[in-house]
Amino acid sequence: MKHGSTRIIRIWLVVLAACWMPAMVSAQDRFVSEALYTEEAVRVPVEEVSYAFPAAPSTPLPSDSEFDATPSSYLTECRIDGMYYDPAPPPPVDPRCPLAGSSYDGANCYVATPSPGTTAFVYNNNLYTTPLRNYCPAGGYDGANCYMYPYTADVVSPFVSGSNWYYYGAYNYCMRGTKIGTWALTKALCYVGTAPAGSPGAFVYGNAFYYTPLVSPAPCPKGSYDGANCHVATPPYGATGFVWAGNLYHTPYSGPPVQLWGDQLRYRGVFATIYIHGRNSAGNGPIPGFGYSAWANRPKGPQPIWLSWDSTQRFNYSMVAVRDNLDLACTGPTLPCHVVCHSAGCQMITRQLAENPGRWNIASVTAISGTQGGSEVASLAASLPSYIRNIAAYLNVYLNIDQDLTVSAARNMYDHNQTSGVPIVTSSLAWNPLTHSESCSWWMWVIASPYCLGVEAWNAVVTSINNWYASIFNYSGHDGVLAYHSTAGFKTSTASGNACNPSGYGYWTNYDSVLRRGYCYAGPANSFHSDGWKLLDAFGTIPP
Amino acid sequence: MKASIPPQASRRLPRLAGIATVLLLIVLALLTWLRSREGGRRAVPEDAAAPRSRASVVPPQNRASLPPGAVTGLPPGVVVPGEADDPVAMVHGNVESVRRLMGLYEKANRYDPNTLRLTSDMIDVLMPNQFHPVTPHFVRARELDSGVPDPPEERLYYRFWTDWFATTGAESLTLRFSAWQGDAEPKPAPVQIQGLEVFAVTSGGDKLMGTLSLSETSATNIAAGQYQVVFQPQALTKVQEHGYVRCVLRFQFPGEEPVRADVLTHHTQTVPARFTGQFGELLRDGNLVIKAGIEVATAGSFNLSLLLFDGKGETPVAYVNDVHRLATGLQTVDFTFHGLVFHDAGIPGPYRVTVARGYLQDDTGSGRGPEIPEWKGSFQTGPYGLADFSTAVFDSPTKTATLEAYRKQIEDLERRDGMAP
Repeated sequence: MKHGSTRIIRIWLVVLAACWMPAMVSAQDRFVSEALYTEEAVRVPVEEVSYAFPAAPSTPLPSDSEFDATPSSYLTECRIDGMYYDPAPPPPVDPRCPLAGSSYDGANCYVATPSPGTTAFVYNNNLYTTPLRNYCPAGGYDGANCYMYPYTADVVSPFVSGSNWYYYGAYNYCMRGTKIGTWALTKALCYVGTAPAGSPGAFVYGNAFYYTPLVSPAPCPKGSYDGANCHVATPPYGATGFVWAGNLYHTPYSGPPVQLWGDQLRYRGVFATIYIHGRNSAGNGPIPGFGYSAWANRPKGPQPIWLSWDSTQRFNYSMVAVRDNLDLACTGPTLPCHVVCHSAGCQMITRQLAENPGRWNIASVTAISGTQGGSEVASLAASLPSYIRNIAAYLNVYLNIDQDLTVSAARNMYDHNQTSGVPIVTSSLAWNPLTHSESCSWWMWVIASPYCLGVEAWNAVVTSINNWYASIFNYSGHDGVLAYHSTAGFKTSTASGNACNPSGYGYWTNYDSVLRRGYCYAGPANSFHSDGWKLLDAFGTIPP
Repeated sequence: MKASIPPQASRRLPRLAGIATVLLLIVLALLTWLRSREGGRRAVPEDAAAPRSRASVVPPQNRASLPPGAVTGLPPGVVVPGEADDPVAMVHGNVESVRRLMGLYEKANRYDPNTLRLTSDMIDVLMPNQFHPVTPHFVRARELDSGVPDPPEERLYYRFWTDWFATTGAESLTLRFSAWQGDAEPKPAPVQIQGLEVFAVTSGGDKLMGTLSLSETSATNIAAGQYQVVFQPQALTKVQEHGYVRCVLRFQFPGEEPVRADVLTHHTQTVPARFTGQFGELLRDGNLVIKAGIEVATAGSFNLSLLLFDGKGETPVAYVNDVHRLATGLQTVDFTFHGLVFHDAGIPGPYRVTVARGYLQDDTGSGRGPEIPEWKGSFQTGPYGLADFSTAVFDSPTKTATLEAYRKQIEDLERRDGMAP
């Protein structure tokens, strides 16, 4: 009996390719039919706007301030293509004090004066006021508190316990309330009443019983009620909120936020973390948002911003779009960026750096399972028979980008040592060989032969897959798609059991690895290529 | 330890076994697919599934000059909601990580972005254009039938490869093919060669450029290729000016399924520029500037590299990689070597230029853009001493601002950790 051994290998190639780079989680499915960046609302000034500063800024605005910048070629392209573009001028705000209603006082940004009856404070660098308390469900509001009862003539000594009012009476009965005991043998101890629920407390003052008012039905004349207080504003990223002379302020910052693709904002003067995804195995173009399974909807780092590109096509297809987006987000002294990439996204960003030296203000790249050194699986995927490849292409399994991901193509595509002064910190994952199921004993064959046939078939497949992997990766460590020589930045496609053995040739210039910290690590075990989130969880965007 | 199928069972149920195998493969494929999708879903914690608003991220505080009497804390008695988990703070609470990264950044920016130190272990720069073959294990039908892998000495392997990844103009390429049996002591394995075709990879799919025939060199010549053919991509049917070339070999191990193996290379039919081999030099601000003549046929952005060795041309010193926007015609381009790199190398002049190379950054083609033929020769510079070169570390407004952003991030983390003074 002859079975198609190579056919099964090919089928597995297709299956592996399907598993290759992470698929989007279902939350992103709504983007399937959407074109790249078609819904971006991008605003740029169409005419020079003069701003009336209350006082001259202590330092000049940065030269690359968007107020001086001309629209990028990307925006020009949007207009030419008739894509959505809103040319409305920016609101006339002081770039140092962009919050609505705030103004520059010569040193800092005045934000708001608390309404009467409220107190300003800062919590977690957010600007708050206490809520308005003037609601008296019983009694009457006297302008400060809730007036409940005047003293009666028999009140000898009033007091409060909890939210209750009491008094020691002069007689053996109570002129107000209920007698609950006696004092001085015959005189009454009287319970007057309880402050309404929700009041912080009862008290006595002057000749009357009072309670603290409840929060008003409209508790926040300024700001929004968060259940306890009134949130007035969050200072711009990088600015510090404070209270001075009872009013709310924040320190100025270096400019207004930059409007990016997908309605994302990028604040100036502090780091943004740009996420660049890898190959889209679903085959439907870019992956906007953080639903890419290697991010798992848990972006970390300061100002996380996703940057999507059509990772089904060859790199050239998206080079210009990615370059223009990086121009918007990471250019000049006030827009520093960290980049986090996965898989083919790392090949994209490192190629951009190599072909645009000195262009961007990128402080680091955290490369998770990057394809900079290419994939043996891709090298063989290109060897699929044409009829398989056509079917695979129909199923979006075999994608155009795969040709750029072969080991030779990836390693010869650009000079990997030219990182434009950006340190590349790599991290790898460790795929474990599949394990065989326990074979059936004779009596199991008797009572459950179909199951046993399945076990044997499975074991045959396991054997073939493990042998196949071992051969193409030359018995090296890998994550099911990429060997360490690629993910750890080896200068050659050398086999290695960990991220520390590049056969004496070392690593590309400016390449570091989180798996080379005194010891050589193989990366998180039992982790497939798409499990990049495990590394993010373990190390964050700035690996230790 | 695995057991093989009992003979009586396999005799009884050969057809069922085949059907079950196919069904199981389909189920396994589905399971694998679902597993890869669910891996992402499982990774999403419930509290993180919803998009997190920017306001929920605690912004770092910068060094503010607050007026006297300013209060940034919480006044006594004010009730606030419970503090939620802040994954950003948790992950970035490591000041040492940021310090380390800042150190890496400073190291990576010691020279200007175009100057790189060149050392003898940088084989990808010294010997670029390598082809990296992959050697798959061929799984025989009997291995799949029995579920037992062949012993190592009987396993089949094949390799289809070439010497170089990229060719230009009339350069030729040698395709090599070997098939053998056994891991430790490989022995030639018989194969039937069925055809070798060359395609141009285009955006519209593969287009046939021609067919080739492999010649057998020696059955024992496994390392260099039992079968070889030398050909010029230029001599085949021209499909495009530059791009990938796919060589497809069809062969069969006797009695086994046919195999189709690919080699993917890159070919530039019409070169966009050539180095003329004329060089000049000068010192500028403590940096060494090498001027190289280049004749450009296709205008555009060129990614160019120039390698510098010691006076004997043996010890690598540094190289410059830069992008130049060039118009057509004869011209010179400047390669500026940051002065500090010579101090770091500790090698005084004279220096020798031995290699210049590059490519046109063309985003319309496949792979990298069209290649410039590599210039190999010798140009010796003047006898510079190390004192002629600047010892200044590279500086720029962007570098200064980025380092400041790093410091700000560190201060913020220290403040959050209570480590700040």
